[in-house]
Amino acid sequence: MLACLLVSPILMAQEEAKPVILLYHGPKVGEQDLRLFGEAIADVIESDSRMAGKAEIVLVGDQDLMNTLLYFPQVKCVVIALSTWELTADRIVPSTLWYFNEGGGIVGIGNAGHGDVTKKLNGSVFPLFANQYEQVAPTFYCVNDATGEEKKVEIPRCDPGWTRVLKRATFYHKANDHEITDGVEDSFSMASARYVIHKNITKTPPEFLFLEPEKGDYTMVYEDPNNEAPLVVVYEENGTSVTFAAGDQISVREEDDTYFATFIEDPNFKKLLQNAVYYVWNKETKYDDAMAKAAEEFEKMEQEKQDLLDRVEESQSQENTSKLLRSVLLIVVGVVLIVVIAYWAFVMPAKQSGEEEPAPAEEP
Amino acid sequence: MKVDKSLVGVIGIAIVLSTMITLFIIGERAQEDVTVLRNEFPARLSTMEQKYAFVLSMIARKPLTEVSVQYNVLSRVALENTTTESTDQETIRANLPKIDSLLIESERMDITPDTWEGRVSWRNVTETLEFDMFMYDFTDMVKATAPNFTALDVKTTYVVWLWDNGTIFYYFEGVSDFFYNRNRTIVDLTITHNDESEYYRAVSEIEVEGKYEQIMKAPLLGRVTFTDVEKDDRLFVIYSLKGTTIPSHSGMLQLVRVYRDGEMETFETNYMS
Repeated sequence: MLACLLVSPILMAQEEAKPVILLYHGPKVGEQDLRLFGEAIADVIESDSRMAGKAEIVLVGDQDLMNTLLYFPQVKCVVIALSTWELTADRIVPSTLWYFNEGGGIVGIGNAGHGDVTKKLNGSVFPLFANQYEQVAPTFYCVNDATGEEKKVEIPRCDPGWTRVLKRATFYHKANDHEITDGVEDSFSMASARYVIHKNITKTPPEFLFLEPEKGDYTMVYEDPNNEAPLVVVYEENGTSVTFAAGDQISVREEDDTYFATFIEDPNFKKLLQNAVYYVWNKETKYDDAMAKAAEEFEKMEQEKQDLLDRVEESQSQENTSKLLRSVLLIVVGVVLIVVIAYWAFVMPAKQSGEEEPAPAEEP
Repeated sequence: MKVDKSLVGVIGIAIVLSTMITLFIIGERAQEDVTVLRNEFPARLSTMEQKYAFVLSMIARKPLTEVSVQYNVLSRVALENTTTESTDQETIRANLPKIDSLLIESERMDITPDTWEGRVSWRNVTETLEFDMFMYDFTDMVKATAPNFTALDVKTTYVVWLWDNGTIFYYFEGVSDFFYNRNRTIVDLTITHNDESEYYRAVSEIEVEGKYEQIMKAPLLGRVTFTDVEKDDRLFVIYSLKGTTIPSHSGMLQLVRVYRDGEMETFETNYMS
């Protein structure tokens, strides 16, 4: 009964608490408040009807806080969006690696797949092995003056009524079928003009070199049709990850070319991101184990506290009994001594004087 | 010379009564169950070729089931916004989103972190200043799932010192342990209960096999426990750091919490510049 009473608050909390999606977006750097980027990603996730009401999204902009929260048991899914506003992500590397190896589900965006930033996560969690950036060459478009319709052209010439525009965009080409491509076009372009890539830097100029992890299931889902470099990769080993090569170079200012909304709000990218989160959410195996282990640990801590209290209570009760006995003994000894002294000092002399007092003389 | 018996009797009774009263007073509980006799720490910690010693010496004033000591070490972190309107918990949470996030996530699991609030004195070159101090320790949340040694490096403890008007004077973040990165920084550590000692040393410092344990085997998370403590038992925790391994910092705070039978007895805050 007592055990049930002790266990119930934790189990109740466990049942009531929604699992958490931990979303790392980076800090505020000058005018660049990357929380806005995080909020945009959170909006994308929340707008997925499949996730409605299922999770609590916690936005984090500090690596130390992320590092601590990653060990909290209620974390069921993690999104790590790293941009060029941070040079390294050293402080979240150990916890992210631990989380993944415990069976966690992670979505990585931008520099998450770059080795200079995420060190040993690159290859073990985010298998892009990137060591360089690929700047996409500009592409010509013709925009209809009347309707605004836009079409890509191979040569920089447009018909009358159309205006030539130069734009940079990354072209996505489906490399393999996968659950996360459901509802996403097989080929599409995205305004993000840069992505992380592994290049053989011993060549001049450096050229793309395909690498994949030695173990685990690696699936290249989308690639750049120009060089066949991976743009979206699903990786399953101890945990499950989906890594997006794009999104490293962002700005939160609308007037900038790299404004994050230009790719976050792209319908294909949006769907792909939603599918990625939904996929890792369902594939991860860490959450239930962690919650069970935490409940067990919390019970153990409570039990240890209770055991200590019981031992203290027992020893205090023994101490109180012995103190009471000591006090009673002290009082008894004291009273006896006082009685003896009083008898010797006052009663005995009185008796003796009574016995020695001469009887009154008889009258003749 | 004849002595009056009644006088002797009065004196005798007075002696018995005073002895009884004295014995009752002696038997009464001391004000503190565990008294910290020495709490030594270096006033300045810098990356220099020298050793820095930390000494905690205590005496038990009565028999106790358990006396435990909890160490935390924190570093000062500069904050952009240091102005708050008051010193109540809600305002602190609102102004320190990091602490707020951790409290929310702990509450979600129905776990209450260790917290403490009180006054703290801080002495600079010219004067001694007093602040309201709030401490939040989320170690138990991390400990529940993280591997033992991993938890040593995770920031779980937060302290804020506030002026009376609520403005943040200093803000600290740190870990639950004797010191950061104990395998590199701690040269030796000794835990003594009367005549019995446990010796721990950095692997590089162990010359004689058997006498010393490796420092990683010292009590985890800086939690030292003494059991079956008798009255007048003496308890010591002594350790030293290698100066060259100390990370650069702009102020460090060591927290030493002494618990007797599960209840906090003493809270020491040792600031090191």
